[in-house]
Amino acid sequence: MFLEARGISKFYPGVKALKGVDFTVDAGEIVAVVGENGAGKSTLMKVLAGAIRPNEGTIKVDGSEVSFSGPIEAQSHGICTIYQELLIVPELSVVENVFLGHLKKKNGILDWVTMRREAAEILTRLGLTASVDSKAGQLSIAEQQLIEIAKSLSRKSRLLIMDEPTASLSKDEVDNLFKLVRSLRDEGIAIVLITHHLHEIFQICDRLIVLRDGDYVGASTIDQIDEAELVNMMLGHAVNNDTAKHRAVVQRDEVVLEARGLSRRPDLNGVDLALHRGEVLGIAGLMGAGRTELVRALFGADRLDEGTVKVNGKLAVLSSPRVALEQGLGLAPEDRKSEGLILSMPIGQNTTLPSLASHCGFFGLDLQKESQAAADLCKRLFVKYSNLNQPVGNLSGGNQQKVVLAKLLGAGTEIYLLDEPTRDIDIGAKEAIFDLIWDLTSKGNSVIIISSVIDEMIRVCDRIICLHLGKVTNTYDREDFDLNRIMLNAMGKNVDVSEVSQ
Amino acid sequence: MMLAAKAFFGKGNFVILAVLVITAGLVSEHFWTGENIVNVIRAASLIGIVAIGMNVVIIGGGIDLSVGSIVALTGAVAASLWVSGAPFILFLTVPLLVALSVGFANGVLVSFVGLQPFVATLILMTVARGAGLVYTGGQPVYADYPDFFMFLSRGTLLGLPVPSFLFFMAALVTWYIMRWRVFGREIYAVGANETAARLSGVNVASVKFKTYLYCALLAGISGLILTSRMESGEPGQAGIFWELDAIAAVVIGGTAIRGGEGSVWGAFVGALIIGIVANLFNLLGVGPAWQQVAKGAIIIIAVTLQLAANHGLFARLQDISLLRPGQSREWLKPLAGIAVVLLVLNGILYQAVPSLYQIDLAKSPYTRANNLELTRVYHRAITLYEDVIDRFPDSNYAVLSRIGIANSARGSGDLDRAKSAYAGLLADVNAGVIDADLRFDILRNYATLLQETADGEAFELVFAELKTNYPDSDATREAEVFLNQIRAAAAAVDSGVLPDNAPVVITSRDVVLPETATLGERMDLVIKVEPRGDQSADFSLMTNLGFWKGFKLVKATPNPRSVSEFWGRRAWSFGKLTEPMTITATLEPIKAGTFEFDLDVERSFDVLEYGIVKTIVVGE
Repeated sequence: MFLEARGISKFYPGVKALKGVDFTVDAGEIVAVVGENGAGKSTLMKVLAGAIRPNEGTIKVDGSEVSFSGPIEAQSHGICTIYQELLIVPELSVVENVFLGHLKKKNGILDWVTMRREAAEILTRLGLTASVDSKAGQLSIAEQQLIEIAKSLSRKSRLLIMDEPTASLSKDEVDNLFKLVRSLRDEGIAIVLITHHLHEIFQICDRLIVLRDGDYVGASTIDQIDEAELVNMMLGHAVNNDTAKHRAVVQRDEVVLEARGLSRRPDLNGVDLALHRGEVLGIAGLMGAGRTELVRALFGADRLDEGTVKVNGKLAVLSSPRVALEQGLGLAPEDRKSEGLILSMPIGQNTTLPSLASHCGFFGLDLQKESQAAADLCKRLFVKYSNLNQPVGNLSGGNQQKVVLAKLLGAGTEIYLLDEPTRDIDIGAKEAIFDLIWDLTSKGNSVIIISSVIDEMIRVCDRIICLHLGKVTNTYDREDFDLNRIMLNAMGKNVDVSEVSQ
Repeated sequence: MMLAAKAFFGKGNFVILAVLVITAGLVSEHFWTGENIVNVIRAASLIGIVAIGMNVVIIGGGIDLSVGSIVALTGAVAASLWVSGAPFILFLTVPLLVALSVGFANGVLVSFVGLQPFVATLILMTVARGAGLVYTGGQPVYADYPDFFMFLSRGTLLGLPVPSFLFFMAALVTWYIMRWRVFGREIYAVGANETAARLSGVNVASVKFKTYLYCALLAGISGLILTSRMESGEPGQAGIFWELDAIAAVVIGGTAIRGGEGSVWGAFVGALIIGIVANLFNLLGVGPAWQQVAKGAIIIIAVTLQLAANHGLFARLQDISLLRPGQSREWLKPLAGIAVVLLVLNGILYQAVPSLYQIDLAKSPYTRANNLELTRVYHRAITLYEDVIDRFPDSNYAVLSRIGIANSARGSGDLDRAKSAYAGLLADVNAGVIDADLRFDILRNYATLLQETADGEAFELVFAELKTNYPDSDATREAEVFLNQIRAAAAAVDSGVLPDNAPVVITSRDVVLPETATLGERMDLVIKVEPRGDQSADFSLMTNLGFWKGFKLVKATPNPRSVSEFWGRRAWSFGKLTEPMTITATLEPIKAGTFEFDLDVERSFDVLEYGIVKTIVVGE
């Protein structure tokens, strides 16, 4: 057994992040660590990577007990971690990034010849075609990930921990990555994978362990378990995944938001759309199709070159987010950590930030009233927290997303613009957000939702428009929803019915 | 409330403050005197007010390097306005408007032009400093401020020095804004995450803009207090490095330099810590050069403790990578190396130039008093000199201040006080209480005074001392000339004979001066002058200046050709006489007391002693 961890526990003030978890991984196998957000996956990985110290438990590498003083010591034992936020310095070249932190020297000066040769060897093996001298920042996310892998290989890594490696990759890139991961496994490297996409686990892993609320729930080999069983282990109950929850409450005769010829070159090229009261409108498209740019423009976050917007039938000049909020529009941005929330600020203050003025009396803010309002909003959205004054960054991804929605709710939003609201959150939280969307529409609000997962949109939307290169290519009503056609359409392929049916 | 108190006491800076105060009390017995505590708070207040504003900008994600220059510019403008006699309202408002306009420029450059705060405020730092120098022509402006303005720096309110009161008020108001106003909350939001704040409906540009205005306003207020304290506007020297001290106070106070976090009271305590450190060094006699170095050390200790405290008061020290055992101790080596080098350097320096390591606290008030004396603001100078003597009786500057008082008294016309002051000083020199090096200075000034008062008896004594100790000096020669004159005069009085070359004849009977007069009631002085045969020539009537301290000339008939002052006398010059002349001068007594009227005659720059002396008593 390459690595063996027994009874690992980690306590933070007021929280037990891990409670006596056992974990083993051997050379030449791929092990998945599965669990909802907040289950303790990240904490476990950080313990293994030496980034934090456990309060209890032992770690053995090659049978002998170790205690890591930091990530560098863990690396010296051959344990490398590739975090979701890649540790690439965009200004440096590929070869500099690969050898960052352990530059090779000859006679006291840097030995670029050897380093470039070795980097080129490793990267060719990994299938990176770009020159080792190009700037890392100019490469795609998938290519940057290869640099990270090359980095760990150049350190003679024996255990590779990958945290959500597929989160920002396209389907082809995921396939490539998995091919590479398999070949690394065959070379005898141990791999630990963390992912939210359950089908990926079944695609690539040999074994999995499941965590829930810091507890070790169980382990299994892949062939002894199916997806439903796995979800059951993760959540502790089965998911009610039926489509019957969808309620059609669209009032076709009332258009709340109407856009004509929205242009912001090169991202948007004359987009028309109409949103009805009570409608859930999905926007499908690739990354870069103009989805995010469209909702940002509607929210007044970016300036438009051309085009008009009508809110509730009246022409509106949405010059800034403040104006848009006052008109009843609310945006949950794509990147909730950097744009949706202020992570270092308390939950309560985040919740009330857009609606602060309404908690203002003659002598200034009524702090009691404000925190009561924040508590009410969080309660309505089932946000799980111990204290409103705790920084929102301490919450799990799903709960953070709920706080973003609570902000919009508190600001009196009637038109919700939700950009990737389900990204990186677990199944339980996703269901809660869908429930909220239906709840909102049944109260007469309207929703525009963007998601890369077309399945989800098919479940939740009344209508889906496909966006490609800043233009609307097609519109589907609920009764015409067809996964394949929407997907192809979103990729810019003009399909007609006969072609698909063949 | 309990929670708030707990959070406050849990803060590292409070711990540091407590540690510092206790250490200070242990190492210097003078620290815990009421006067010193007031001094500490007063000294910390000016930087403190600036730091409160800086704190707001830094929480908002910016930085303001221009505050030191704003302090200087405000002071220079205020002093110039006062000297030029600007209307009261302008004198108070224009300096603050100038400060605000610098803040306005900072805000525009950061919020609307989009420059980095560091760059934008660096620009204004140099521009504002330069503007002050241009405005005043590069020179300090000494201003004789009115009392109500001096109240800003010298007064007390509710038992606190006014600057400290303002410091506390600034903190209180800022605390209210940061905690209870939407604006304050938005500052935190913008500082922590500008993008998220904007998407949450915060008008980011406007919030940032306003923080720079606010900071500049507080710097302006601090500048007004400073100019009031210095009684001058110093465009070049005031507020140098204040931006750095303010940033240090903010950092010690636990505000994150990246923005979004921090408390007003943290900066408040941070400013106090800096003030106490400076005070402690002064009490221990550490020189200013060394103080700069030590201040850095204190900041690093404070920030480290702050870090430790923020991680749960040392409970999780092992989680701070710097303090982990093992290989990460490497960082200690270079630090230790630097410490050793510093220690050795200072050891050598101390051996070579010990004076660098000593500071006389009396120096700065003495210099200020001396400046005032040189600019002839004598009454202020005397109070300041007295202050120096009171506070630092053992300092060398106390003796210098006594000389200063005597000189100022002479300048302001209080001749009796000057005389007794010089006499006292001279006695102390002879008794060996005062360093003999000062003897010459005292004698020279004393002799000048005695020439003005024409006190022959005392003058003989002073001259004797001058002659024995400094036979070759200019002062001795000058005194000798004067002495000869008064001796001749005395002889003339005794013999009733005029000098050979006397151009006119005046006898004691020819001069009519009433023996008494009343303040404000005009009276006449009549002098009859006869030409002296073949000796008749251009001449001047010389009167002692001491007399003119008590009287104002209303008119004289006939009018002299010219009036001038030299050799401690006032000279009325007339042309060659061919027939007798009667001069009638109408005088108005302006000061009560006894005055001597001593009349002599000048011919070709030679004073001829006529020995005519009259006395007049002016009553209220």
